Amino acid sequence: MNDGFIWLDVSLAIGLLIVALYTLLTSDLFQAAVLFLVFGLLMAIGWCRLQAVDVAIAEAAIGAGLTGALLFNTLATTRTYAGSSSTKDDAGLQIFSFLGLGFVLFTVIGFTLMATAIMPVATSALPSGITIGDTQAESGVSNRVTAVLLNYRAYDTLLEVAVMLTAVWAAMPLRRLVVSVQPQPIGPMHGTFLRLILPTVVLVAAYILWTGSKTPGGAFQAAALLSAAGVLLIVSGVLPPSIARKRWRIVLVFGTMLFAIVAVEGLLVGRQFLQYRQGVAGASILLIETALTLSIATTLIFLFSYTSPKEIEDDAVDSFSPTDATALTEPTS
Amino acid sequence: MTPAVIYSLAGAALFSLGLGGLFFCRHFFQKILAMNFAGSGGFLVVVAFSRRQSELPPDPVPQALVLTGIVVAVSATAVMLTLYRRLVTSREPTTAPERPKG
Repeated sequence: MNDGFIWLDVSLAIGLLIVALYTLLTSDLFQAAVLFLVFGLLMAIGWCRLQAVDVAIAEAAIGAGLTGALLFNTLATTRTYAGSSSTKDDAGLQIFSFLGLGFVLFTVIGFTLMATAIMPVATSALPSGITIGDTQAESGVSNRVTAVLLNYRAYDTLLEVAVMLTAVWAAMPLRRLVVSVQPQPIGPMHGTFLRLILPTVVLVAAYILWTGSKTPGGAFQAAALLSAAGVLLIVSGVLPPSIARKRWRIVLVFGTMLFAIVAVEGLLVGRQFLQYRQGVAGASILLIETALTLSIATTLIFLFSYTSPKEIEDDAVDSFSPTDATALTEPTS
Repeated sequence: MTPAVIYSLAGAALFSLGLGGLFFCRHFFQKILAMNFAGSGGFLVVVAFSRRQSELPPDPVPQALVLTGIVVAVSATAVMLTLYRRLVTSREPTTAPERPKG
């Protein structure tokens, strides 16, 4: 793609580095969070320039959008907005650190230059020489990235959704118990906005999921959209922040379980692990993607709710003892 | 000087920046952001490698791996933020301790 837009790439690369540097050096955490959001959106443009449109959609929705929401929510919860600037006091440490950083930079950039300039270009080929292009028709989808994600490297995706489950399990004990939260009344403009935008979001998410087999899109991008709808509901006070109710946990694991069942089902019938049945690969992929969309959206909403600010007061925590457990209850479903 | 080379260099620099920020930023919130920058830098390098030859269509395997990586990075960030929140509400210090003088 050596068109005349090389100036865009250079300025985008420089802009990315400047925004990152600013984020790490600022002493205002709110500014850092906003700059991180900006960084994510610039990265999305960069992905488009590298012709990685699936990655661009995911970065904009999850990397910038949802992470930004998590950051702002955490800042609102902790109410600490003042960061601290880097060490000003120890000159020796600073010199050593810059030398060390320079060395790392030199090594990484040197390796990158070597890899791009000298090493031969390899295409994604199996040892037998089969490339993705040869078997594209069999994989069931025509979007090559979806084919890789859910067919050629489906094992990575299976482990990835398991990792997301693990993240929820890790964050779950750290959440705060909620005293009864009064649902806030919603004003007319706010209510109209919600009524207009939420069905649109669901529709667009369903479309992105469906079209992921032909054009850029897929399960993760659709899940990011659905989670954005969930975040909107939580922030509006419609859904209580402690959304991690027991019934929703079924949706949480449903996607991973279905994926695992489909993966193992082949073994029982005589195929390999994660090998789809001949001819229904496309349908299997769509089924798995639908379940994954619901699960991943729920996972992201759970993770967001664990950073929610509508929790009990800090003083109540200090006086909390196990015998007071009856005072703090899980919200009734 | 194709886009691939530019973005892989930028990714390398971003990774180093994130690594440096992880060590030298005092506040834990900014350490978390620095880890994300390092991750994004790595992703840039990987996806830039998928476009090394502009004549060929982009290589989908690195793009799928980076897609996975973005989602995993968000999950890790969410867990880190929950831990950070617990730090603050338990009134533990949120900055790295001062290096002792001498």
